[in-house]
Amino acid sequence: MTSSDLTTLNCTQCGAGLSVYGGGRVKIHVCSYCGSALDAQHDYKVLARYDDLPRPRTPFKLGSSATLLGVKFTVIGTIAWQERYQGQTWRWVDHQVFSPTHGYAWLTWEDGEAVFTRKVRGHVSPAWYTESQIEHAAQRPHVRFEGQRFAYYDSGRPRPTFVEGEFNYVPTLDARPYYASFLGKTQMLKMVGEGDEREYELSELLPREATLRAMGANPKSWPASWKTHPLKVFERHPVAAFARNALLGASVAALILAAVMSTFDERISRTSLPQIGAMDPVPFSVTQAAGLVQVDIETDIKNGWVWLEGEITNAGDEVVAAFEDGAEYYTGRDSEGRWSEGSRRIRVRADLPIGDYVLSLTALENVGDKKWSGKQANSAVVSIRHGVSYLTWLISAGVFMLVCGSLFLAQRGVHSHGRWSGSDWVDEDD
Amino acid sequence: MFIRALIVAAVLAVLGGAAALSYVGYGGESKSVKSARVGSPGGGYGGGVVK
Repeated sequence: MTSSDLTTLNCTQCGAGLSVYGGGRVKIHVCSYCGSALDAQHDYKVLARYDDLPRPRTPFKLGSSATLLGVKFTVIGTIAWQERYQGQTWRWVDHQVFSPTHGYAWLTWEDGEAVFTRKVRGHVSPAWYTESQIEHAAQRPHVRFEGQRFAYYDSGRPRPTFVEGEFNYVPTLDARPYYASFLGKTQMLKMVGEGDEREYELSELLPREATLRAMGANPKSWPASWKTHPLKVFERHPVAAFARNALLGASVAALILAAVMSTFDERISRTSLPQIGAMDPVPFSVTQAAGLVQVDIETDIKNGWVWLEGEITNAGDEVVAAFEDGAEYYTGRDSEGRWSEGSRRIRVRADLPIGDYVLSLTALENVGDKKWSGKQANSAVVSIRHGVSYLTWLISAGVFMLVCGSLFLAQRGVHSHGRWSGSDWVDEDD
Repeated sequence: MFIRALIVAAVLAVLGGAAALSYVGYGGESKSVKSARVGSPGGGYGGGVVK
């Protein structure tokens, strides 16, 4: 009597009714109630007891069926794994699945994602990587399979922590199978070995929500992990691509517009003031309503500072703006050559309506620093412009949109980094 | 389509707003400048008192 003849059986240890889903190649059936491992090939005699094992949390139940990658599979077994390395613990749950037409495969639940794995035959080059070869490799190992290139991802020897249901092999809690996984663009190739047995497995990510729903699980009860699964393929939503293009285009437009607007201003006065101690008033007329009036006072201070007070009066002799500002400038020569610090120029900007104005300047302080053989300022040149734009807004908007657009550009890199973040390979250069 | 239109509207609003503020020079007055309220009672800067 084999399991292919049965749809239900009673546990030969505890008598509990067990459903049989797994087809004729099932070797062992672990009772869900008492944990007895029953030999499906030899009258279900008890081979071992796996009782009191912690049941893993998984959305997939024995007997649930779904179409995975175009083939209907039924979950027949559950085996939970645990791997520890350098204080970290990884856990995942493998479900053996069975299709009467396609045989046996694995459905894995790890990090909130569903992964489908099948055994493959074919030419893998190089055929095998031992733990020692990986440990001593100078560069990240690569393998080729069916024209695809796979890069080393991780390896280890996990141990089972829970077993239930039917399997086409005999799992034991003592097992420490070796695996080395290699990540390709969309698939992961695993070298799996225990004892003399060596096999290759190929895994790919299943659509999370659709798989959960098809298996009768509520996706809301099984939230996705914040981590990027290594098998997750980067996909950019068309709207995201549109937003990226719009932001980058607008940022370029903002910077071009800023460059154009910087030419909008016009000089309305340029006056030399030969004696800084007695500066004549500077009359000027503002004829542009938009923009600011900019006053530049270029002094000839050297190694010292000059502090000026300014007042702008309108045609009605009312003071409409006043300011105090200074220029401080030092220059010299050292072993690295000529140096200078500060500025000889005073620049002030005021918001003045259209009209006639007079700028009056008084020197409050005018000091040549004796320590530096400084000279007082003797003269100044006053230059006044109107229609001056305040480009900080436009440049800030341009930079902001450039940064936002660039974040979209960085998405692919971030995704790739996330995919590989779980790899245990460390480059020696890092 | 609606989301794309929304994105375009948002980008143009930011661009247009920034261009308008830049053009009129909003906020660009020097910190050292104390503007007068022309035509205010007392007339002139600070009600006729300069500093």
